[in-house]
Amino acid sequence: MPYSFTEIEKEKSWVIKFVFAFLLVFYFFAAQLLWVVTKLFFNDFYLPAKIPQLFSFRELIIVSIVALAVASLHWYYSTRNMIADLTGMLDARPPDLKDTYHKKLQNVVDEVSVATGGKNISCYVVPSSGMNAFAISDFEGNSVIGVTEGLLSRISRSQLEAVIGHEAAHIASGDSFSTTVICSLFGIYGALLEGINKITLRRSGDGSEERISVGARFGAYLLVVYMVLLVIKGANYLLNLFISRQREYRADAVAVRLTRDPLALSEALYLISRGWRGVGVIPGSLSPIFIMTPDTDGLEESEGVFSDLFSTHPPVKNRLKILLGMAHSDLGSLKSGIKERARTPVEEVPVAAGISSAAPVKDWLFYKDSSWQGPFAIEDLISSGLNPASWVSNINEGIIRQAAESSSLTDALKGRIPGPTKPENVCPKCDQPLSEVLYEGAPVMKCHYCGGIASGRDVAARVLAREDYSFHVETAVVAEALMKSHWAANPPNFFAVTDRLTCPVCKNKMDRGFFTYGLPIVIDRCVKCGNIWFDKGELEILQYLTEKNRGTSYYKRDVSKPLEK
Amino acid sequence: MVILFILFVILIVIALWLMGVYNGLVQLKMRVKNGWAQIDVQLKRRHDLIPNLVETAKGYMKFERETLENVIKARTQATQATTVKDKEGAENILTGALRSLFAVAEKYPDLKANQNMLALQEELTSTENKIAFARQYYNDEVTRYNTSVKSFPANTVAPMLGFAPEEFFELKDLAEKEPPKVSFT
Repeated sequence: MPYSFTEIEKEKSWVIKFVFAFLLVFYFFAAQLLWVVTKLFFNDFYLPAKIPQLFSFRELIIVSIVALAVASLHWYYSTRNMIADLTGMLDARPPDLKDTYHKKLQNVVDEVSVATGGKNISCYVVPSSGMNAFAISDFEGNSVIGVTEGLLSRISRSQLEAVIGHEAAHIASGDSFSTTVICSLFGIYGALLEGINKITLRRSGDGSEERISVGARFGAYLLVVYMVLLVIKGANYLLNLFISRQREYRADAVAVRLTRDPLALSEALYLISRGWRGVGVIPGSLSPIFIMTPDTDGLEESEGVFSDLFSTHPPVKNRLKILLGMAHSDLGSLKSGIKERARTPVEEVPVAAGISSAAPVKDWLFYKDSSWQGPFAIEDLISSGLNPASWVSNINEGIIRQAAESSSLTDALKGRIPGPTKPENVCPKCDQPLSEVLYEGAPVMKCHYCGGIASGRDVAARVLAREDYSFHVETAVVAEALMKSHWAANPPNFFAVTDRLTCPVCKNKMDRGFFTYGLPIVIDRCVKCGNIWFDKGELEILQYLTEKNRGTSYYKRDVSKPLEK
Repeated sequence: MVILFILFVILIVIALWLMGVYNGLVQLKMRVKNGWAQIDVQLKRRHDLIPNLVETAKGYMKFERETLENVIKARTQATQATTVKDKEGAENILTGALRSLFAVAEKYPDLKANQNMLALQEELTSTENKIAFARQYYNDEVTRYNTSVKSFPANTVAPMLGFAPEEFFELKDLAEKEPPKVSFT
């Protein structure tokens, strides 16, 4: 690496001094202004002799002390816990190593950390389907690279490696430290401001009486906070002056030095620049730590003194030009080189054929296709599609009952479940253990018999960000029909639900409701642990709808034709 | 008196210069050592993964005893190598054996779809990349160190101070990357 440890430490202490000096000056001017305004306000204008006393040496000293105190407090509280604050703000969490995508990310981060000569870097995942990545580091030299779920699922391994290389370059060169400090000092408050804007907008759209009175009570308080945050956001803009656009070029160059693959980095940048980068979810004021600004604006993409001063990232086309120059390639061949990802058909769990040595006893009748069939042995029953809910009868007993009620059939059904199971996690509909399977690389629990899926809330978000599998033919038809039935306009009465399901994990009752109002698919959600139960096909329909909203190329085809399997 | 003083100053200057050269070279040499330690760690990981891989493949590849035995043999040899040159040779043989194992595995779709095998393959890919990166880091550091040792005027004193040029570490990649497309426009 071109940067030695001492150089980084030197730059670090420089950054600390500089930013603290900036804070001091900022608060000094703010306090002085406030003081002068207050004095003018209480000034007796009939006595003009008082006006020259606006500035006095003693007052300047007091103002300086106040500014120093406020700046120190601000510094102390903002930089105490930078990594936790920023990752908390972005809702980033450590990778789930059971998940194939997360495992891949962990591996790639480890690989790149080897390339930097063994820097200790941990990785985080942001549960958003936008495409972006960030790097932060703190005083103690802890560093974090975060990647959004969307980026993770939509770029190849070598492209991911290039992106991580870029972020590792920021960490290795020490400039992620300065952006982290600036973001924790000002960016977080800017993000709060964006949050308040969002809340107030939502409030005004909501017509209920109670909310408004609560809003009115908080109104005055909110206004003060708003003003303060506005000033701090202004300071953030000023401080962005000192974040050079050059550091992104430099990080691109170091990333190529680390991974020796300029083409992969340019492909990744191209894909990120073409996709949704998380605006709305990722606060714009935290953009310095990201590989590309979440929000697209003209400033970032233009050149000249003004945009050089105020923007934090250089134009994508310039970055691409430099990288493609290194790879002896051009934009045309880059575009033609990016292929649509091949999709595998939805994975079905294969049923293994049973092996038994003794001759099976054929004594079960099975009600199937509206007629009684049989007699069958238990093995035959199961291979002809026995469910826990199917009606069966044993010749020797002469009673008609459901398969789940017979202990021998229940045991046989249990023996057929592939994959690891836990006896405490049972299907809320079939009462059979759920098997742990990987669906789109994410660990979920699936019922082998009814095809329902139980998944954690964040795991469901992960699945919705991924595009490995194609869809069943009927999924598109059902999804379109559901959307046409205007459930969103006439929501069914969920309070009338009597058959509430039991959560397969914590055993509490589950509530029935829409997944979201934008995706009005009825699912069951555990109130306590947030687990979601999807009946067969529901998750796939949600995937279909989110992917359609996302507008992937998979949908730019004739709607009247059924989707290929 | 004056001559003595001048000689004294010259001696001090030479001593300071020697100190500077020595410290600079020690720093570079430590980086080379660190790079080598990283390679060692990653090679060990690779060796630890192979028994698992062979065990998983064994169940499916009943008629490929020879290929599997070659991999095991190459692994044993690789774990016993000590010097840079020995390791280079042994690891290259191991890479060759693994390549033929994966080539044969193509014929067994069941094996390719096996969850365990997929996870192992991800681990192996990751380890291979780590080896490649560790090697890259090591060779970069060796280049910097060798350049310092061999360039004038440090090359006049480096052998006396006990600094000899280090060897590079060359390995074949397990997956042969397809050459990138080049356009001259």
